[in-house]
Amino acid sequence: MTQVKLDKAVAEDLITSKMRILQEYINSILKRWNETSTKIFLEKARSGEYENAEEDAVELRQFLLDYSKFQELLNDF
Amino acid sequence: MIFKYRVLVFKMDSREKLQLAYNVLITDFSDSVREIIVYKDRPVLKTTFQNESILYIRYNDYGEYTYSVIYSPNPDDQMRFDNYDDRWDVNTRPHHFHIRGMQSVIESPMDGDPNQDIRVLIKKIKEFLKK
Repeated sequence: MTQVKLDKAVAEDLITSKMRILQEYINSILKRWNETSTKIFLEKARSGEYENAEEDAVELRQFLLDYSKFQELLNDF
Repeated sequence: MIFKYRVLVFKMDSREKLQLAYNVLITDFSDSVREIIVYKDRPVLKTTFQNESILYIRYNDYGEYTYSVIYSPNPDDQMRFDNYDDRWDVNTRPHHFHIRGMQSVIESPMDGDPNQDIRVLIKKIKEFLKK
């Protein structure tokens, strides 16, 4: 693995920027389905209550995972 | 040997699977492909074929996937393989196939392994092109 030295402020800025982009993707999926809760959306997509929501659900779960990983990184600074 | 390969695929994350799917498309089906886009911030690969049909491949790190093929602007003129919605009573559950027209669901030959799935998928797309 390649390691590079990075100023802490720059690293934080990069991470929060990535998190902001992820949040926008998450919000756009919720808006498309008129939902406010990711958990409820994922449940409704899983049960089939929302038809043809599988693509958004698969993406959303990845966005949430990536977001939590970035949050952990930020917390570790 | 096969078991070892399966373990390796299981451990791959969504980006690695998309990269593998990309490699299969480029190596084996470049003659059918017009354009491939791998999105930077999304776990999505979009392939436009010479015949205008579009394939979207999505993976996440939970082993879930969707392979969607859009044949025309008609909203129902598409098909999708996935393992997300868990309500279809098929032998391959949770893997299932929303057949072209999206009116019914049958069992699916897919299992989320790009190396195997993409080849099956392209074969399926080509079958439809011949009809």
